[in-house]
Amino acid sequence: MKILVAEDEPIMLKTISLRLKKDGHTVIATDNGREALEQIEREVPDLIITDIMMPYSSGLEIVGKVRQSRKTPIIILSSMGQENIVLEAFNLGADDYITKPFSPNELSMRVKRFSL
Amino acid sequence: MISFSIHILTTNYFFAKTLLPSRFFFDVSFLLLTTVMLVLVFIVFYLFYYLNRTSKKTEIVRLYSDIISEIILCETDEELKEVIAQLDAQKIITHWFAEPVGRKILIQELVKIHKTISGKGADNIRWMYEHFGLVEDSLNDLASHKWHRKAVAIQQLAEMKQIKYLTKIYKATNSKNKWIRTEAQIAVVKLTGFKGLRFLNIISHPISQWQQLCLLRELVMDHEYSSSNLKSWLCSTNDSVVEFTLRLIKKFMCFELQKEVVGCLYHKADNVREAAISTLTEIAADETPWLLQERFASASRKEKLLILSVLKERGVEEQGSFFRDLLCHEDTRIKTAARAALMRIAESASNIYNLPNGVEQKADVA
Amino acid sequence: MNLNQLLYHLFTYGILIFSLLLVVFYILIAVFSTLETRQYILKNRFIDYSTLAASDHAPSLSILAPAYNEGATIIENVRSLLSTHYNNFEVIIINDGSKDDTLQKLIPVYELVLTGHYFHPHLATKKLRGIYKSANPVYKKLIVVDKENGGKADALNVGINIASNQYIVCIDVDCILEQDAMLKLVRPFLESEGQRVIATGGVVRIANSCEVNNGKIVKVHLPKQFLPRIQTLEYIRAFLLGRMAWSRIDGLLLISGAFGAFDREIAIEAGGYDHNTVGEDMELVVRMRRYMEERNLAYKVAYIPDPLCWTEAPATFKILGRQRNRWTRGTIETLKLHKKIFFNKNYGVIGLLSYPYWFFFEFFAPLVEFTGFVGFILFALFGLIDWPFFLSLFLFVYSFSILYSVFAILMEVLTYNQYKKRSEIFKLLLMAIIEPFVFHPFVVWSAVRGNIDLLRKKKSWGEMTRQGFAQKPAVKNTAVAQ
Repeated sequence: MKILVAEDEPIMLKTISLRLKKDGHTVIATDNGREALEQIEREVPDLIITDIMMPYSSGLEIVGKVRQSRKTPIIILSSMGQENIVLEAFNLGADDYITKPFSPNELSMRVKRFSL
Repeated sequence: MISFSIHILTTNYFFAKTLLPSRFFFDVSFLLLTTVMLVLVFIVFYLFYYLNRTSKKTEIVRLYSDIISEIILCETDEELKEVIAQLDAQKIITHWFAEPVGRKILIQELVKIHKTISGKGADNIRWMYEHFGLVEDSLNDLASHKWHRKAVAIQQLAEMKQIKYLTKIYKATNSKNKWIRTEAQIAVVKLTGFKGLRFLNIISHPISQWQQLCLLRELVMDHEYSSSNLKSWLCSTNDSVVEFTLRLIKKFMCFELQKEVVGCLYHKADNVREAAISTLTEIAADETPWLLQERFASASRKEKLLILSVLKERGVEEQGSFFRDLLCHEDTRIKTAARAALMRIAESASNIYNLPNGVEQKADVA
Repeated sequence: MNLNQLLYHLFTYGILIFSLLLVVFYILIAVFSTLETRQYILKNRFIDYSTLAASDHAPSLSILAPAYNEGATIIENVRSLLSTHYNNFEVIIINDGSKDDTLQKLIPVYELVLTGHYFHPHLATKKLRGIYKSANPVYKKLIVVDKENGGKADALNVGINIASNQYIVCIDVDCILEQDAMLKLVRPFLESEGQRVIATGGVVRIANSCEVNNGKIVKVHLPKQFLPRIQTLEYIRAFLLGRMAWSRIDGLLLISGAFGAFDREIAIEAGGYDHNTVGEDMELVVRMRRYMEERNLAYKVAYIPDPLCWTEAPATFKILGRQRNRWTRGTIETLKLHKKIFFNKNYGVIGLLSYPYWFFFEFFAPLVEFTGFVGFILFALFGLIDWPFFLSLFLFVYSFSILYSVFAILMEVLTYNQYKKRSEIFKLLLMAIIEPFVFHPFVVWSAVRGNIDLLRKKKSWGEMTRQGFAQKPAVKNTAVAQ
């Protein structure tokens, strides 16, 4: 799968990218919301993994914008685990919500679910 | 805006002339201008040093992000050994990990990433922290006289689950410095869970909201708690302790303390009463809606709104008339809240559920 | 000693004491500011704001942004506000009867629909024309209020009425905020032990010539134009070497109208913003403080030095003049309204220190300076000046002025270091050198004009024209992992 990962913490971004690459996926790594949206338009990924608190655009805004035109599965990966945010994310159309701290292995398994 | 003007002092011209010779002013001016030059030189050097330091730091972080992410993803000890061997070969350990700046940044990055990773990855990070002797760096900072170094060290040791240094950290909970004290208290709870809250028995100064927030974050629902402790803290003379305990009760859903929480509805402190109302959302019993209704009349505006929001979730059909009366309240917000509660109750009461054999039955929708 | 001599001595002694006190104050302020900022920055090193962002117990915020004729930039401004890193907040844009297409631009982009929104009118305001919310759940945090024109104070009061959260953050809608501004702004409210923090102020930085992209400052540059550049130096001095000092002794009387947070309950009980003054930001803070003092309630007004809010500074003398004129009138009106606290020990620090300071060194000083300057011209015309001596005195005062500014620059470099290039530092130094000759006299003159205008009872904001930020695409490479 072609996966877009949007995460502003560099080591986290590196870790997730590496893990997904080990699983055999192609990874497009971005560290801010604006670029993420641009890359989504350009590369049309099969899956999007995004944080919420990022520069330029919040992850939820990305979900909202993507859902206007695509059905690409979206996994939210965020340290904000408050109920209202989780509900809002699902309301906007996210497919999964993982709170930090998280296990990269677990992420890998959840991503497998969306494999074609 | 503060401003400085040469014009004020020109008016002192005549006075100053009689008092001091012009020589004096020339001398002082020379002194001041020399100071200006020195400060400028310092600024120039500092900028240079700062740019240097920043670019070095960026380079180090970039290097570390590769290493750390690889180590996080190691599944077995063999893999770990392999990665370390590689680092050795690249002289990274002898070069970067040996330099104080390199070590400081390494600890910072490890602590930062440890907060967001769980499972084997987190274990690997902790292993790295211990294997490369970074614990010593934290302990050195802990022994430092500078309060901010100490506080950072406490955070690092707690995050890295260095429970064998618990005694040292516990000593810091008595520190004269407010920041060290609070960091130590949070660290103890982080390392020992609910047991670490025993400082609540003796604490005399108020616990800030920030500290409460941090403590609550460290406690998870799976932690074992002690009802008797919670009960005694509810009777504390320290209002912030009572408030914090109510929040704990809400978090741990301690239904057995229902009565005591209701008692706090009449506490002398505003924040305690409000916390009590909020807690009852989670541990409501059958009589709770009625107790809240009883409390309503003598409550402050803020409490009234809180009560109504609780009753929106936990109110019962029989309270309909109470809410209807409030629809004429002078305060629009209260009116609105009452209306919302009324609608919610009506909605759950009037849900008709069609059973297969066509029998209609009322069902409660939570 | 005859009467003439007595008057003469009184006059010159008076001015000398005034000046000496001013110098002493400046030095004390510099020292206090340094200590307070240092402590704040050290503490910031081990604060984890993500704890606050991820907490259920973080307080709720209502961001209030009055908008008047902001059609050019309103879409971006609102987008930027909505993407603040915080959980529990709402953004309330108050369209204060704009004559342009501010509202018309917002409606389609944010899918706004007229709705009913129930709120209690605690504060009296001008009539509302409508309340709009978004039909799109992505923008559910946005509320737009349309009302008759009534001025900034009135618009903010509408916002206060409509807000339903614990703290209100009053900002200028065209200010660019850092994304974690709310997290940082809210912290002082949470850290107090025992005292109730009723307001927190923040630093306002100058955005002219900075690169802005998608409502975020991408790169900081020193303003290219002369006036904004010299105001940068002024702001650094005032904010880093001024407000932090007052905050340390809890004597802060002024929180910038462009960026400040307030306890909503206290703001309402104190009566909200006063629309009869052009200095409504300062006036509210003083009134809220008096409210707490008069009831003997333990409280504090906090201040944070982080560069979180960026705004456009006037670039022409005309607009700058209007701004300073308005500030002067605002100061005088506030001082007049609260003259009760002058040297009144019942009001603690603000009565014994803050108010007198503002009275003598912010209100009175420009008048003294102006008088002194006129006097000097007269003396010179009559040939009464001993020029060598005058030169030495002049040099002394000038050196002190430059030293103070350079110290402010040093503080800026050691703390937040927004201007990292040597060339920028030297440009700031140049500003420090020419400021007393070019900028400062103009500011004093505007202040004097303010006094005159107030005596003539001029009540207006004047028109502030919009310039727009420098738009430059950010250059960034996306890492594409293979």
